[in-house]
Amino acid sequence: MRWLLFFVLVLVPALASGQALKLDSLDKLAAKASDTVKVSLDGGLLRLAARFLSADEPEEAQIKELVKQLKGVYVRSFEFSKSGDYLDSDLDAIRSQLRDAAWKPIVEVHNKNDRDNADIYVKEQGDHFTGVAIIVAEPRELTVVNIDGVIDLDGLAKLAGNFGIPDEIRIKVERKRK
Amino acid sequence: MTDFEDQLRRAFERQEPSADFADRVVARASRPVKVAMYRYGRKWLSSAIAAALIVALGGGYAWERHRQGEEARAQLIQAMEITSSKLEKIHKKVQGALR
Repeated sequence: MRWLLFFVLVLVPALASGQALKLDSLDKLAAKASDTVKVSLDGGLLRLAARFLSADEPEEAQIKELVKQLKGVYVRSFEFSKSGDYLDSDLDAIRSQLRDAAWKPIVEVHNKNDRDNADIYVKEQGDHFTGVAIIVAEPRELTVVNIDGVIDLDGLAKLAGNFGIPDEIRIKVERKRK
Repeated sequence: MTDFEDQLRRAFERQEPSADFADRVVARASRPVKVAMYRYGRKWLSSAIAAALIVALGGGYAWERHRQGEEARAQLIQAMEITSSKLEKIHKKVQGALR
């Protein structure tokens, strides 16, 4: 009985917090997309990938450092030849997972008229982000990224520029054009 | 003739071999050589096949692992590039929206 209690109180939340998002619901969009990127790297495959990264190439060395504490990297990115090829409801399964208390939205930029939305959700544990989910939904492009594990978001952003997560815990911007 | 001389004479007395003696000698002499050669050849062949299999399997595994590693590396770089570019895009959207 004690073991069952230990399992319920300790192990279940621990296992749940380490779970990656299920992105399979998006895979059907590949049939409509003109360009699809699907990346699913977890556990051993991620460590294998890191071993093949060069320590001499600055960008690869940076990635090598970033992925040291990661458990999984999952990306689904679709480009469509015309707008309307995917529906907002296609993201429902993802958004319902992000409504879990473990996830906190830190950036939400929604433009209802342009159908141009972007969200960043994070999972926190102490001083660390232990998960990040990024959704960028544009009329002809949809990208969902989920990174599972301890993440240095600033380091990640430095790969492409000098983006830094804002100091505010949460930024929510909604633009409604008439 | 003394007893000793008599014993010597009997000891050195010529005795004819049996009729099939030559055949038995030839048969006995040829058989072990054949078996040894066969056994030696079979062991060598087995070892060679085993070594070749180990080399082939090991090489195949190493090659497959290398291919998987390179593919995973390319996917990881692509995933990180997409992620960082989307973060940059969101940053621009935030800046644009706040203006």
